[in-house]
Amino acid sequence: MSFLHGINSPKDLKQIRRVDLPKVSKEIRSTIIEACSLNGGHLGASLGATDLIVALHYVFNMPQDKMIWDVGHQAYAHKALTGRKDRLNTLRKTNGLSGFPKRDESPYDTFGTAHASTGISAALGVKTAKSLKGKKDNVVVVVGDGGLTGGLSYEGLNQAGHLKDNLIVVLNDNGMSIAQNVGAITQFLTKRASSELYEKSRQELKNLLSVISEHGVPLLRPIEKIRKSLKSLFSSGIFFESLGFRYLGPFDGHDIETMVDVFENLKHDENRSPVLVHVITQKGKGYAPAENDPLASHGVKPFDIETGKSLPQKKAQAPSYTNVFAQALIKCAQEDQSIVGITAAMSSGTGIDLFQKEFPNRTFDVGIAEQHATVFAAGLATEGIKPACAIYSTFLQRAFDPIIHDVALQNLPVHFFLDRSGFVGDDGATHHGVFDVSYLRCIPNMVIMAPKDENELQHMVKTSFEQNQPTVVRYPRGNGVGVHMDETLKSLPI
Amino acid sequence: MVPPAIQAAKVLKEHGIHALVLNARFVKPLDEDMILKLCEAIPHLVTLEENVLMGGFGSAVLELFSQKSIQKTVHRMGIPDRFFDHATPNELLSMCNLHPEGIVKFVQEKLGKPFKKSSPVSLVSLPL
Ligand SMILES: Cc1ncc(C[n+]2csc(CCOP(=O)(O)OP(=O)(O)O)c2C)c(N)n1
Repeated sequence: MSFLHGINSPKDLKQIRRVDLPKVSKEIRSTIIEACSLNGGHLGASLGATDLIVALHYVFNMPQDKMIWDVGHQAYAHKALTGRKDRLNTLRKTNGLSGFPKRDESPYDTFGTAHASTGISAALGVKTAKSLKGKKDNVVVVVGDGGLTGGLSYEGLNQAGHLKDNLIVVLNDNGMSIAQNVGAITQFLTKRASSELYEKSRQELKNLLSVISEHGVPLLRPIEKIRKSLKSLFSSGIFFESLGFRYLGPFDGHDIETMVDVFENLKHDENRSPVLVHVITQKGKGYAPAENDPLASHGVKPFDIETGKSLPQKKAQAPSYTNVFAQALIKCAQEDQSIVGITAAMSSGTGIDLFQKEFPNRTFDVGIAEQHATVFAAGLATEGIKPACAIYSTFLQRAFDPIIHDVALQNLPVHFFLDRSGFVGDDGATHHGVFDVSYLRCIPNMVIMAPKDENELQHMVKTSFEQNQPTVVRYPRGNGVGVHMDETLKSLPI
Repeated sequence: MVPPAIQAAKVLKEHGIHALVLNARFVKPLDEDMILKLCEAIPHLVTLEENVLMGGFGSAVLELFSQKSIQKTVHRMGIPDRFFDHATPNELLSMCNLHPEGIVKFVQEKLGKPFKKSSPVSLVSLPL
């Protein structure tokens, strides 16, 4: 740990030679792997974003310049570089570091995040405030391709393209949400990735940059040139350009030197319009078990560093509520063709992945889009389809208005299954599912149930589909209490 | 909250307090008849929920009593009006007294010590 040891703030990082930055990254990765092996955590995303974070902190001047991390689960390297490396092993532990950026944890955490797709809006707010105060500081937001499946991101892009302030949006594209990212936008983004073109753009950039550094002139014009030369190659660029952004990339998000060049350019260009820098990263980068299984590496339990395998847990005495829900849903759907399953990018967390194995054509992963999921379900329900929306309690908060305006007001039988209700534990304040009873009770036409054990849960799943009105079942994370499970599902009298 | 409520009821019994635990599996519509019957029969009522107190299940019971002009104190247990950081679920529950010991203590405080032998209590609990 020869480099990281001496880095107590981003200022210290700036003293390091550019060529040594990959070594810094390597040390940060080891620290992240160690912390996650002890406490669990968001390993894959954080390893993938490490090189990008090193490059950003190397160039920009936090905390005067501002960085915002969409979702924020990928920002462990940011914590490591901003004075918290020695506490990284307390991540998600009681009284330890939060697993997400948090304003009262550090002056380097510009904005608290955790629920996806808030980054661009928040950054635009910060940037606009800077302009109102006559300040030119840079504001950078890093958003994942998963975060771009949430509609809020586009509301931010829409206003940013209009305001024309020189916000820097970095698209950290690893092709993954928690699972494989799905949707038209994702396909659009991946079109660029033909490796041949990608290699060509990298080479071109390298050549241009070498010319620049020989002459020692500011890098502004060449970036302009690169942009023009690459623009035609990548369809995703056209999309962002038409929204009023300058599009740069895609760049290799593990090539720190290139990223440093790009960001240096942007840093000194005060008059530019908003810019979108597209970088390609690999989830789990630098740790073979995580690279090989990016889905499992998203959120890990404590594991053995040698093998990457989870440490043996106490064997569960009862099935998880998630699993009981999924099995009951499958049973109901076998008997009722009109039942479909909907997830907002959380298929494994909600058990919809199990439903999908049985009924691939009746399963919809709508992206990180709970609001859309709810209105989509309402539309389905008008045609007699019975949608099961399996959404974590905390994320359904996003859908408050559609639940009232689209579902309940029209008394449409949309059936919500709220996993992770109650305290969730290590993800903390942003994730506790402790508001649902209050925010749903006040809505007319809703039926709200909560099972006392896993057997009651399976009956509530069946009960839900028998109601000709909206229903909600809330159940906690973790395993059931170990009661006998009835063979046949029954309908509970309401 | 049903399993900790049942455990708490066992402990209360050792102290000479009979507590009946009701599994309120429907938050909405509320089983009004059952709750009203209970409160006629049993002097003390405690509601439990792993949800914020404001607007939650205990509030629903309060609203019911208000609507029916029933003069009765509802002792509500749940999550207070502040945010909770990360910790284990058990730690978080005990911070809110939503563990068996906490429930026993709460009941003791609300009902006053020492218990009158003839003072039963109903723990009306939202499941989870
Ligand atoms: C509103 C909301 N719904 C669901 C989630 C759960 N979630 C956490 S990370 C994630 C995937 C994020 O993908 P991306 O932005 O591409 O970041 P990556 O993990 O790939 O770096 C999801 C769905 C969330 N954080 N917020």
